[in-house]
Amino acid sequence: MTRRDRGLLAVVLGGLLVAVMVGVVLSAFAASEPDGLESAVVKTQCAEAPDPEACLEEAAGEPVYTGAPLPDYEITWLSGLLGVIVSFVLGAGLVALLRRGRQSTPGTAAHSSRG
Amino acid sequence: MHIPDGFLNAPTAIATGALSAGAVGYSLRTAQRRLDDRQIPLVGVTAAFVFAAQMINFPIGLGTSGHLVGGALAAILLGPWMACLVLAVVLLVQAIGFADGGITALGANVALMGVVAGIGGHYLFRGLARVLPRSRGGLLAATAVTAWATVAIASLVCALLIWLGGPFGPEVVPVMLGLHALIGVGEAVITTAVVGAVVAARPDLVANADLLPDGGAKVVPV
Repeated sequence: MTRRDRGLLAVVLGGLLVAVMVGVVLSAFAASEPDGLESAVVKTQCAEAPDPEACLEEAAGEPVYTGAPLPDYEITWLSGLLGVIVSFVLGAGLVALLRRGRQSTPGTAAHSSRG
Repeated sequence: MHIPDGFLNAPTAIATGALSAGAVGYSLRTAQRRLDDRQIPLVGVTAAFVFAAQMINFPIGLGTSGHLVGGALAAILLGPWMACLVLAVVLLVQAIGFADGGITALGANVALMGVVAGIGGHYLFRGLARVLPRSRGGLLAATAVTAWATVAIASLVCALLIWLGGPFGPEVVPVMLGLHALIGVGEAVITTAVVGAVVAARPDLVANADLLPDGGAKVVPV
């Protein structure tokens, strides 16, 4: 591993550490008010409703997909940790696979030393 | 700004889904052809950070909170197509893992945050940076304005979608835009802080750092 690769590794590990801290620790302090979209619906469509919260839920409808393991980020710290890890692996893994696929197509350098 | 299943009718969900599928498909092809290998882990780190930051709702008053979208952030650090891909990854993880955003509205959510904020944010940023002074201050000013504008514009498009393609009346449009004009200030603060820190530490890894006077970028926007 070259010196520049070590520098990149430090950036990646540092960035991941920040993401984990934000998702696991800072997430405990997140505000619980409705977000901008929900609030806009509460202040317009649901403004006259006796229970605006119920009105919002009715507008959002029954979720079509119900298999989420941690719906609404229940167990906040665990949701943050898992979400950060999965997002990293999926994001980096997807583009890494695409780049590898390209290396093995005909007409390009098929046999790099890194395999 | 995560749209749930019930906010869009079927034609709108399908049309925005098709648009997003096209944008993500093109982004994947662009990654395959043009991505610098050093950017591979950075795509992952950016996705991880955007996921985490989207968990942090900050209060803006008016009984409302907002959180980072991250489209402008990803676009400035990586480029337009990787920004679209990063937001698509985050939104997919949120929908499948945490029931945040409806699965039938995934296309619309990718269209708003990946295409409008991400891809659109990149070109807005390049345009702004060219008219502002070619300095670190100019770059960060362009960053702040872009971050604010991406949230405002995405919220306007979102409001038009749920009005014209959903069950809501037109009065939702100005309220959406007004609230997100405030939320956009938070987007600008966070995005400028993060871009400023990365540009200070490793300008060679920032795709849009070619706009700096010393042309610090060693990677290009993808």
